[in-house]
This record gives sequence, structure tokens and C-alpha cells, in this order.
Amino acid sequence: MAARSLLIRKTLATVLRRDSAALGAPAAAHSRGLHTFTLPDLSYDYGALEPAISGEIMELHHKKHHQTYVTNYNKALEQLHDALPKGDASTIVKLQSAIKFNGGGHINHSIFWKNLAPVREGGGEPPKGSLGWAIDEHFGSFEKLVQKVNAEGAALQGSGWVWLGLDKELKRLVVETTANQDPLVTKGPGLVPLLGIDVWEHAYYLQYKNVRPDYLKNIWKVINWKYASEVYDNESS
Amino acid sequence: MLSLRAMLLPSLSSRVPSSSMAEEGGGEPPKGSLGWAIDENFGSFVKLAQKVNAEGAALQGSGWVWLGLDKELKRLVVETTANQDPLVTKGPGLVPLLGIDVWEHAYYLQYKNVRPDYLKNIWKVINWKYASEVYDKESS
Repeated sequence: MAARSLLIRKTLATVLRRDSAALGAPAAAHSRGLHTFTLPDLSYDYGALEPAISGEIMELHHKKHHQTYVTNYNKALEQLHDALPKGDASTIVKLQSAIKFNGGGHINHSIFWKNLAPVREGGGEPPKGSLGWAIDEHFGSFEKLVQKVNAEGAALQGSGWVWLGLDKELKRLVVETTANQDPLVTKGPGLVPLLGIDVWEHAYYLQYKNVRPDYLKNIWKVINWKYASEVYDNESS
Repeated sequence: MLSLRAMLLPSLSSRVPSSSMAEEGGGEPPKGSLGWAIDENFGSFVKLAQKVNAEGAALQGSGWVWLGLDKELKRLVVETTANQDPLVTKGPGLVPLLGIDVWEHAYYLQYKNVRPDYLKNIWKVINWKYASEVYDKESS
């Protein structure tokens, strides 16, 4: 029983560690051996991405939405931690939805904050170096990539994310979408998120109302390609 | 179709709003056969509102929360659907009586991230006359 729960904990930890580079603050360790998570700080002020994304949206998005995912993720992990040694299969399975949704929300938003940067810190500057070359190779040009991301983001039904990802197995860049808070890895185990754009209505509605395409058009002005390039270089070596 | 009880004791066919209704489901509650069906299927109108609000708040992503009539099983149900899926996608015999939109666009400008507040308040403007008409027609 102990060995099995250890195996499950290690598997969970491996999956979480893969995307944990962006998760910011190290996980808080409990004496019982359960790691819980905390809301990562932004490296810029809420208003620093204006006019592309309003300070009001950034504050609500970070302090309320992301915080709620962290809180509920931790709650679900605590309940899982209790159910595992009991072998309570029904509870373990019932918790998967809350873990995927809230854990995914924490993973995705942690990446998102790193994907953004104020203009005066390089936000909006197109990627140079190897990622820049890879984008030209796979999409034809940076503009064509932007068009593809915007088209798929605008067409996404309901809530979700649009991603630029690296397929480690096929050694190529991909544009993918995921529904709700599904992390990119749910579209393929070899996929590494470089850039994720939140297209849930809460990400833009206060400022852009129903006009998601305008939000997509403007967000490129504050995309932090330095971070995406770092991840690309790390994962493609 | 009025129940025998409603015909013989008309004073019982209208319900007086209680203080707890003001918290959950405040507004002009349904009378007549739909009102009785709600009591039968959920225990009380307040319990129905609580159930709808709980399921609506817990819905992951975008979607709708419904009060529906299951024509085959002849009972009321609370269901959710994702995105813009109509209620019928949850069962061919399901007829929508009341649907509450819980996409963020339905409430965000006013209630921001606090979907539960939107759900608490929307009952003040629910049109039970319409839901009752549909119920009466579809359950005859």
C-alpha cells in the first residue's frame, strides 16, 4: 500500500515537475509529505501591460481566478492524500476532475504570467535566435504564426487556451488548443508549452467585451519571447 | 392540469415567500402544477434553487444549468450542459423549462469572477409563468 502510494506520488510529482519551471514559488512541504502550491508573484505591476491588457483584468485574473485554482487544487490534493493510503478508489477517481481542472488552471496561468512582459522589458519584441528560426521553418514567417494562433484562438468554442508548443518527439513546433484548463500535455505527452494565450472570457471581457479577436490582435504587443526562447532552447537541446 | 388537491383547497396552490426564499430563489415562485412538481421532485422551491446554484457554480468552463422535464420518466431534473449544447443532448426526452447561462459573458461585467452572486440574484427575474406554460403543455 505504501509502495503504491509512493509510486503514484512520484508519478504525480514527475508530471508536475515537467511544467514546474514556471510555477514560481517552491511548493510548501508538509510534514506528512504532501506538497501544496502557492500563487506565484508577477514580475511586473498589474498595470504594466496596458493598454494591451488592462490593470483591472490583470488584478482580477491573478488575485481571484488564479488564486482560486491554487486554493481548490490544494484542497483536492489534500483529499487525495487522505484517500490514497486508505485505498478509497471511489474518492480517488472522483477527485480527478477537480485535480485536472484546478491543477491545470494553476499550471496554465503560471506559464501565462511568464509569457507576458511590459513593453519596456521586451514585451512584444519578436523572437530571435533558434526559436525565431524554428518559427520561420515551421510556419513560414512570424506573421503566419500569429495569424494561425489568432485564427485558432478566435474559433475556440467555449473556454480554453491556444498554445505554441514544441513537440519533442517530432522535433517541431505546433499550434494547439485545449479546452477549459486542460494543460497542453493532454494533447500529447511529448508537447512542451512555449506560449499559451488564455481565451477564457475572463481574460479579456472587461476590456474587449465580446470581441475576442481584438484581444488576440493586441496581446502580441506584450508577449515575452525571451521566456519562450529559453524554454525552447532548454527543451530542444 | 390541476391536481385534485389544488382544486379543492385553492389556498394551498399559492405559496407565500418565506425569508429563506429571499436568500435562495427570491422572486415570484411558480404556482400551479409546476410548483407542486417542484415540491414533489426536490422537496421545496428553495431546495431546487440551492441545487441549481450549486451545479451552476461548479460547472467547469462555459455552459448552462437547466431545470428540465423528463417526459419519459415523468419527473423534473436539474442538468448542466457544456458550451452551447442544448438540453436534449443530455437525453432525447428532456424538455427545457428554465435555463441559466453561466458563460462568463452572462455576468462578468457586473459580477466579475463571482458567479455565485449572479446565480443568487438571477432568481429575482426568473419568469416562472413561461416555465409553467411549457411544463403544462409538455406534461399533458
